[in-house]
Amino acid sequence: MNPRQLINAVALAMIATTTTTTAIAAGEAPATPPPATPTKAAPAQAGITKEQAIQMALKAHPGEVTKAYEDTKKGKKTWEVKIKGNDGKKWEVYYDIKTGELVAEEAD
Amino acid sequence: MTNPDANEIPVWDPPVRLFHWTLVIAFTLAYLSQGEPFEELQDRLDGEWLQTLHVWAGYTVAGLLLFRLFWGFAGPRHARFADFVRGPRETLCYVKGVLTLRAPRHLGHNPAGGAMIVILLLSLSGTVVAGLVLYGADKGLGPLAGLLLDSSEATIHSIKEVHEFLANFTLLLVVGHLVGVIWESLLHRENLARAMITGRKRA
Repeated sequence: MNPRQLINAVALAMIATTTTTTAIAAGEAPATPPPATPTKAAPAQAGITKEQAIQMALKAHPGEVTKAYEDTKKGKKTWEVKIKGNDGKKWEVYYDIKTGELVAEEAD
Repeated sequence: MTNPDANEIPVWDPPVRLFHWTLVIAFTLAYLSQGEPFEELQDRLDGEWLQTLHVWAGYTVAGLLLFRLFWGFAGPRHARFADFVRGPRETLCYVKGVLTLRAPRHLGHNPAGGAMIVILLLSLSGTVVAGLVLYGADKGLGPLAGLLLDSSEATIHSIKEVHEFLANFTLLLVVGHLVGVIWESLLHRENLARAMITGRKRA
C-alpha cells in the first residue's frame, strides 16, 4: 500500500467512524441529577400519562394540541405538549413524566 | 453521445466526493427534521424520532467537518485548502470575471468556489457548535450538558435563535453555491455537478 492509498484508507475510515460515534452519541443518557428522594423501585402508578399531560397543558393554555411526545428538558424526561393557543401564541409545555411537575413553558 | 471518458482526468478524490454527498444528506435531514419551514410536516411525525434524527444528522455534520479540516491539509492536490483558498482581492477579481462571462476555467475549485467552501464550512461549524450548546442547555443532553444545565430560559432562547439563524444562513449559502455551480457550468460548458459524482473533468 503506497502512502496515498494509506491516506485514502484513513480518510474513509474517518468518515465511517463519524456515523458510528454518532450512533453512540445519540444513544447517550441524559445528564439527570440523581433524584433527591430515594426511588427504591418506584411504583408504576407514580408519574403521569401523556393524556394527563395534555389535559394539564390545555387547562393552562386552552387551544388546539398539535403534538404531544416524550422529550428531554433540562435532563428530565418530560411530556412535551405543543398547543396552538386560543391566545394566538404557540405554546410548548413540559411536564416531568415521573412527578407531573411543570418543568418549562415557552411561547413563540 | 460522444466518447465521454477519452479526455477526462480525475479531479475530485473519492473521500472529497463522499464528504460532499454525505454532507448534503446530513444537512438536508437536519433541516427537514427541525427546520421551522417544515413544522407542519414535523407535527405529523413522531417528535422523539425526529429529535433523534436531528441529533444524529448534527453529529454526522460535525464529524464530516473535522474530516474536511484534516483532508484540507492531508488530501490530494485539489482537496487542499492551499489549492483553492485565495485572498479577497483575487476572489473579487474572479467574481467580476464570472459576472462579465470572462472568468478563466479552473480544473480544481475556482477562487469564488473556494471562498464559498470556506464560508460554508465556517457557517456549518457555527451551526453545529450552537446546536451542541443548545442541546446541552435546553435538553441537558450531549457533551456540554454538565456545563450548561443551569442556563436560564432567556439564554436558551438566544442560543436557539443563533442556531436557527446560522442554519438558515447556511441554507442561503447552499442556494448561492448552486447558482455558482450552474453559472460556471454554463460558462465553461461542462457539468460540474456530474464531476462531483464521477470525480472526473475535461482535461
